[in-house]
Amino acid sequence: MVDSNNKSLITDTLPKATIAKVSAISSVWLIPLVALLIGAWMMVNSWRQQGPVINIAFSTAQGITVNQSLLKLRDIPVGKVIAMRLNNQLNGVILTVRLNKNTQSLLTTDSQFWVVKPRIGIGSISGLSTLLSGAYIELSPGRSSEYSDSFLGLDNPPLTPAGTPGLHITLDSNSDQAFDIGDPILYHGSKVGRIEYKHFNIDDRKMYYNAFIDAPYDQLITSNTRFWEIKGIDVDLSADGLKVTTGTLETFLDGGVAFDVPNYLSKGEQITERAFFSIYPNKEKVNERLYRVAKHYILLFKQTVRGLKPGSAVEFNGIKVGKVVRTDINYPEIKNFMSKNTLMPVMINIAPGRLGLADNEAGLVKLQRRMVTWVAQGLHGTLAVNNLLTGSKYINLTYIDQSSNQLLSFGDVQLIPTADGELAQLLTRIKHIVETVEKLPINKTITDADTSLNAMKAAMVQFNSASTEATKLLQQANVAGLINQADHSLRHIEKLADSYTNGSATNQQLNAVLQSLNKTMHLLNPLLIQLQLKPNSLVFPSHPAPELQPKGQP
Amino acid sequence: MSELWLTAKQNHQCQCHLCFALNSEDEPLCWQCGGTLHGVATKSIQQTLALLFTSVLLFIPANFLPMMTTTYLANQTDSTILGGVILLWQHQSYLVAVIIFMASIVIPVGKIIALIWLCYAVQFKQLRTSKSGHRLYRIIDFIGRWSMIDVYVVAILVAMIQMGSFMSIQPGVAAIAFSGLVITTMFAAKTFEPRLLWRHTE
Repeated sequence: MVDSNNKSLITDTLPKATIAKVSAISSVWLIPLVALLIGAWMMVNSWRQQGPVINIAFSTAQGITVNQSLLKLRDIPVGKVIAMRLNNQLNGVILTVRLNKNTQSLLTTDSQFWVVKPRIGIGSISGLSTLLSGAYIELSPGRSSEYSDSFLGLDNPPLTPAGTPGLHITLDSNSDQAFDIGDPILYHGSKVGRIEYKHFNIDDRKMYYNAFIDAPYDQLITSNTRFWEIKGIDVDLSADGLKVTTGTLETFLDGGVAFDVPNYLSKGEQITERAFFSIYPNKEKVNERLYRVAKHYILLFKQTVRGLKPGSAVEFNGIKVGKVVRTDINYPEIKNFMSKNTLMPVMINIAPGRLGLADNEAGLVKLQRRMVTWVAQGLHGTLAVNNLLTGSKYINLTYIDQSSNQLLSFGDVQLIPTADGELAQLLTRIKHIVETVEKLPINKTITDADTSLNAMKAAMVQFNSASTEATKLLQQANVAGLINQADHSLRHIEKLADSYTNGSATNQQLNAVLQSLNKTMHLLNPLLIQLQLKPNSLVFPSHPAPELQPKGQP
Repeated sequence: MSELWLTAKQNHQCQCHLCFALNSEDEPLCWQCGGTLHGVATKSIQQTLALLFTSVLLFIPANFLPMMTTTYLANQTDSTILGGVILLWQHQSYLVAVIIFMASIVIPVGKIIALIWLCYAVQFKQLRTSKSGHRLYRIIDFIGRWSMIDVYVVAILVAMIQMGSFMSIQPGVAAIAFSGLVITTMFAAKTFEPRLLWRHTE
């Protein structure tokens, strides 16, 4: 126990404690305050980090998980699916996606959304990475500047992300071959684009395809470009033989569209805006020149028109001037079909452009005017066989010297007169020859010949009697007198020969002449030898040529 | 009981915190070691309450934000504490689920509630005897550290499972909040002055 004195002593000696006023609130309260501030800051921050919320409609939510599936742009996550529900019609789903901050610029009216999941096509396999990671939504920002927060998702990824440099074109086709989305567009065998979208127009009864040509190949598309189909296998059986054409492996399986500028056209202007083109059935059709105007004519044939079909050629001396348009019989003028004298109508068109005339109305008028003249001069249409193997035919326009014709009309279309075809003409000629031969007066000729032979026989008999008489005359001639005269002549010849025999005067003289001639020849002999060696020695003096000595080079 | 046992306070004395020497209540310094003397911490309850309030604040992010992020084959999964417990229960790991549930939810929550009740009881003299309060306090003090089991689990998993995109585990924000929660509750338990319990039973 400490006594009070002591206590007061200590209290006096010690410095007086300063009594500070103790605050009622502990400083420990700073800790929850800091925690609260941090929490508030985090909330504000996360609220500020939150971007816009959008709704995307899809047909199915396959592979999408709430709070897990991401929205990505070029594989960078920009958002997350936060909710999904069925739409009001229960035929689709609506995914609610919260995007990150500052992504408003990506959300324009033409932005595209699609689910990336594994896809296997003929041309490609894509989205394999999502096998492990799960599907995600890919975003392709648009070019528009208008903001939108609800979108229609694509069922398939767009083959061309929006904003890819290139050219969009629309192709139409009414052929039997259909193309699929993704089918290639080829230029000289290289893939330069693809079909992106197809749409069947019920009114036009035509399939329309939207295609995209990648840059820089879009520069190849000009106003004169023509597109044609590429089939997997194209088999052409013609008189030339069997021709099999195949494209690339991809087109072999799927088909495709190729394009080029026809060889008879200039390139034309480059296309920069979306343009419309038709797909031709094959390359041959493309290279066939197109004419804007053509005049229809009808030919009435007596014989079969089998082998003639729309598109068959109409030629003049081997040059194509038109083509067959119709071979049917649906004309009001045909009334009594299948009666005995039925004529088969074939409608053709002749393009003035093919004849070197202007490809316009003026050319058409000129063609009409000239046709009157030509028909008057004997222009006829004949059926000719094009290919004996397939039996296809063409119409050959040719001049036949027959009575001049007038241009009649068949309904409102003018008629070109027809003649039999080459084969028929040949048959007619043979028939004509046979008929001529048949008409020949052979019986009369044979009778004539018979009488001639009889006359000849009589003449021979007469000749025989004449020769017998000649023999008789020779026998009667005097042979003995002739022999005597010959004997006399031979005696004279014998005498003449005796005077030339040895020892006679004539003989000696002849010998002397021959001897002197012999001497002269001996004298002439050296001269003759020199002349023989050097024939010009009589004219040029004979100098011996200097002998050549072998020498060394100085 | 009060006749037999006197508290230092009743005897106008107080104990030095450093050398445990008894001093007069009026002394500013310890006669033995010279340490500053003070009676029962006056702000003890306030400090405890402040820390408890912090732990309640931390409880919200600890339970609603992901505790850990599992990346399995490029597939990210965030798991909260309760989500993990439910997952374990569904996978029939009932024991582990119960342990984690106890350690992560029941114990921290119970501790916070118990401390708040103790503070309330001390302030408004609700305790009939100090014994029950003491026992509660001891239990809280002992069991509090076991709440860290969840943080250890996450720490071990994060350290062990790092196999790139095949499988990896990253700690979430909740792990930090949760460890903050456990630490603040432990401090709250420490700052609580058990001597106050005696005072109110006097």
